[in-house]
Amino acid sequence: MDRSRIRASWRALIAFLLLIVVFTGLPASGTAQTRGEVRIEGRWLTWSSSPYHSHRYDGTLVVRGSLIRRWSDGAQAVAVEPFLRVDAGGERHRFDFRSLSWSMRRTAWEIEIGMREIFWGVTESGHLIDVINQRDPEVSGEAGVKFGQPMLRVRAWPRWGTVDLVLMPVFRERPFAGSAGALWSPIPVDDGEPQFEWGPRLLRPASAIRWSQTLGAWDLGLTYFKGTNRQPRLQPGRKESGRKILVPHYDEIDQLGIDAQLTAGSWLWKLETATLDPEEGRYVAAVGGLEYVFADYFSIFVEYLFDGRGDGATTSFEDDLYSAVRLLLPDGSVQAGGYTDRESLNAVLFLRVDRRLSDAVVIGLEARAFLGRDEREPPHARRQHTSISLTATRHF
Amino acid sequence: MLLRDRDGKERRRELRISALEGDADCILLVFDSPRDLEGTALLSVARADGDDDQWLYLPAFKRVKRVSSGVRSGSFMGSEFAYEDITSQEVDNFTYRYVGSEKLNGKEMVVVERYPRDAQSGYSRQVVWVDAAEYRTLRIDYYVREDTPLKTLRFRGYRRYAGRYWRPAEMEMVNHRSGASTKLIWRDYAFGTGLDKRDFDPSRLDRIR
Repeated sequence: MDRSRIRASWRALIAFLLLIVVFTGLPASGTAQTRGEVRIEGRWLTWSSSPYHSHRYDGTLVVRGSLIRRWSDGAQAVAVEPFLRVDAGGERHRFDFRSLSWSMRRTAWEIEIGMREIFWGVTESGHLIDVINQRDPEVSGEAGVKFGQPMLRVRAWPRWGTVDLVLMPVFRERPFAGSAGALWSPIPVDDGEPQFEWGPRLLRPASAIRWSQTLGAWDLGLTYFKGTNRQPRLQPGRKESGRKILVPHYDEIDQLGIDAQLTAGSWLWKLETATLDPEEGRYVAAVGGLEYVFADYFSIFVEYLFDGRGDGATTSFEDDLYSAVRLLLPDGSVQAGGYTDRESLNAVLFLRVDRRLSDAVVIGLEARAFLGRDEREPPHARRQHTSISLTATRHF
Repeated sequence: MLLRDRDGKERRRELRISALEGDADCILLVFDSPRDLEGTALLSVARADGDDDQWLYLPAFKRVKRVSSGVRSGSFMGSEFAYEDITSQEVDNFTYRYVGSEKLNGKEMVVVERYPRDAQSGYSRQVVWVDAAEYRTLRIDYYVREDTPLKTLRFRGYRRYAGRYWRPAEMEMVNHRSGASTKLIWRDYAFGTGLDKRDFDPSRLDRIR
């Protein structure tokens, strides 16, 4: 058995034991709430800058569950939210948790211990402040699935806002499993031997502190993070066989970020900006723009994305304009838009359509298209593919 | 909530609603169905100027989003109710004119016209039937520009809770122009449940729920 299978097995065992504990071991007076979904996804890559992957078909089955048990009048709770992904190609199987945690709340504070998912930030097209969780690059959709981050989290609500302190004892690597690691790159990413500035792979402590407050029409946040960057740089390397590969390199950073939103009637102004100091030197990144709401069901978005590293950025959206529309319908939604590089004019367009067929069944279509010349893109640029995916989701 | 379109096709939405009345009225809606929206929450906090601040909690992303509440005349979740039909019922939001008394379903009624003060309101005027005995609203007719009748809201099945709060079991809004209608069916009213301002705090919307 390879390493990832062993990892998946022990995760499954832990989940099973926890479910038994949660169902049987907690006070009978509590309340339980269960949800689940099964999703089938088919994805066609009609074009990719990687010759191996053009005209390729992927089939994926995703099962997600959520079990929340509360007791002591809601003051204590356990949340178990596992997900399982089974890949028809056999290389992207994964069993993991979005949540696996215990929490205790009081009027003025709350404490959470375990694996949790946290979202911070305000913008649509990029997420600079949202630094706590590792993301799964293989899951399509708006934000992708995040992996639960083991943490001790304390939140308090003094008069002057919300204070959020997160202590993270271990680091979670980004998976670039099998051929999927090469999905959007001509050179495969090998996540077997990632590089760090120092220290072991797992025991890499990090911490974050955030203050946020709503002041009238303003929502403000100030976030400081110190630890290993969740987003690796991909550096060229070679395998022993001489084959070219990309190796994930994780920087130690400290990051100070500001997020702000001004909600003024139908106009929503949004900004996220952060300064980071990886090995290569400090830089500034920003995402900002506006949303205009014509009616509850129809909005337009215009944002600008900037990364001070320029062509050396880990994102290809380093000097890009984002524009999109969103239409909400009684039984579905339509979103369409794109990113356009200001200099090369290379563009990524997307279309997402969801349609609810019944109380529990939703089907969806997501299409992405790359327009432009790929030699102008960095070698690891995620934008270089054109694909269509269809999903059917059954909720329980 | 039962939404019926003009062809009679029905959709069902189930919501848990908590509300706090005080300096700033707060309403928290949590979806139970359709299942893909389960756990989605909408928090609305009334501001002094009559508008609302609104936040949305999206459980799929564990994300709290401040959203625009600028369009008060917009449809509430795709129904025939507008946001303003549900949220802005305070006395100060209208100017009034007494029309007279009338019998409705054999009961003595007071009929009042009211004119929205907010220029953003979708209505030119509303006609309200209130019973003379307990001041329960039984019917509202909504008019738009050039005094065209747009919608009628009927309240049924009033019961008294906690000895003093009259609440309807059913509210049905019929749109005369489109032929569509929405029925709100209320269940399990509870008063004095100990909720306070902190249960309506946007920074706590993402607490495990």
